[in-house]
Amino acid sequence: MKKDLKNLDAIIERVLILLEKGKTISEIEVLFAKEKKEIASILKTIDFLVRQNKILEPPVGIAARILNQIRLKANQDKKATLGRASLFNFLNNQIQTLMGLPFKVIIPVLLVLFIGVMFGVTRFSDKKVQDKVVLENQQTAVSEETTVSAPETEKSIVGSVQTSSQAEQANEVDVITSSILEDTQSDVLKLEEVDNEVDFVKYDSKEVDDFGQSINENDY
Amino acid sequence: MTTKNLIARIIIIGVLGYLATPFSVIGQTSTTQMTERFCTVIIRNLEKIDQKLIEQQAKINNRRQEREMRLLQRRSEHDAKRSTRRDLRDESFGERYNRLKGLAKTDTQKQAVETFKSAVDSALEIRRKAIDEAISAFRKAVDDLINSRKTSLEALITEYKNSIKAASDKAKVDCANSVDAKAVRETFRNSIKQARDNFKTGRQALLDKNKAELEALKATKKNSIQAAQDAFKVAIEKARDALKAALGNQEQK
Repeated sequence: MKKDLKNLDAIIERVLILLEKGKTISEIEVLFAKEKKEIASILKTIDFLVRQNKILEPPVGIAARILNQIRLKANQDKKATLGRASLFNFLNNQIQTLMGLPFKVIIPVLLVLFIGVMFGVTRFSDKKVQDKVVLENQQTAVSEETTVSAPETEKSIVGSVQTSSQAEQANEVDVITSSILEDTQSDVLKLEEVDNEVDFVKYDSKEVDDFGQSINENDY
Repeated sequence: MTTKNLIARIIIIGVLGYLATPFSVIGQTSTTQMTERFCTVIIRNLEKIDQKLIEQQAKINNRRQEREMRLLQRRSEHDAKRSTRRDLRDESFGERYNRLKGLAKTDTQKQAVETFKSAVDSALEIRRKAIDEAISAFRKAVDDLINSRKTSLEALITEYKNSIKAASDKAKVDCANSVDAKAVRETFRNSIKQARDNFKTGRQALLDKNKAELEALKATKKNSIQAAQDAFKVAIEKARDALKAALGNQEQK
């Protein structure tokens, strides 16, 4: 049995050598006619593998093409990094950096927050205006009530309104009097311009001087 | 005797005769010539001196006329400005008064505001009158000063002209009497110088006097106006206090 296996190994080895030398399976079968039974299954397997090998065989020149492409890309990258830095590339790189994972999360979150705040502010101001209108309406109602009926229960409200009116009147009286006093005091300062009318007293000074110098003893 | 000898004798006699003439006679001749020359110049220039003085005096008079016109113009400008300020003040006060009136609710309050307005109007009128009077007084004083200065200057000018004329007349008389030319000239020059110095001194004294008077005028005007303003302030504050008291009492009621 062991001898048969050795013999079989030798046959297979020879078959593979013949295949490498370019012999076909049918030619090899002819050469090993005696052992045809033993090697039939092996030859079939070898034939299958040879055929599959031909199918899987890469096209001629593919390696060269891949190498060329790799070299070309390397050259392009090298060119891109040569000379002055491109502003576009710089910004592009920065944006790419900023748009990293944290910012992809932060920016949408900030946008949502901003929209939320704006919505809140709008609602709050609307509510404030509404409250103001309500308050004014209430004040008007209170005022009407006080002037028309002035019931005892509303006396505190009336007093409050009157105090406010009194303060306003007192303030206006102070404003008007201080305004008149300031204005008239400022007028006093402006009236000082009348002082320059005295300049006309000496208006003929130069001519009088010239007259006094008209006759000079040194001329004689 | 030859002709040559005769000529020589004549020359020698002439020379000796000249040498024998006294020096005083030569001096008299020279002085006379100088006097004549100076007198000629002086008499010729006297007319020019008179003409020059007339021209200079005309310039003074022209300048004074111009002053009169420009002073009126300046005063008119000041009056216009003062009037505009008053109009603006009245307008502003009117607006504030209306606002105050709007705040008055009851009849009593409205009456109090009316009283306040009357008090302010009255105080304003008194102040205006006082200020107008102060300015009028100031202007009258300025005019008086201009006139008194003019009178003083006219006196100085007349004195100067008289001094020049006197010096010229004396020079003419001296020339007619053949007084020493040097003396005539010196006397004339000294007289002119004296006239000039007198004029200058008199003018400076007048300037100093005017300066003090002008400062006094300004101070008087300022004090009068400030007094009017102080009185106005007191009146306004009184009116304010009265109004506030009226409004306060009404509120309490």
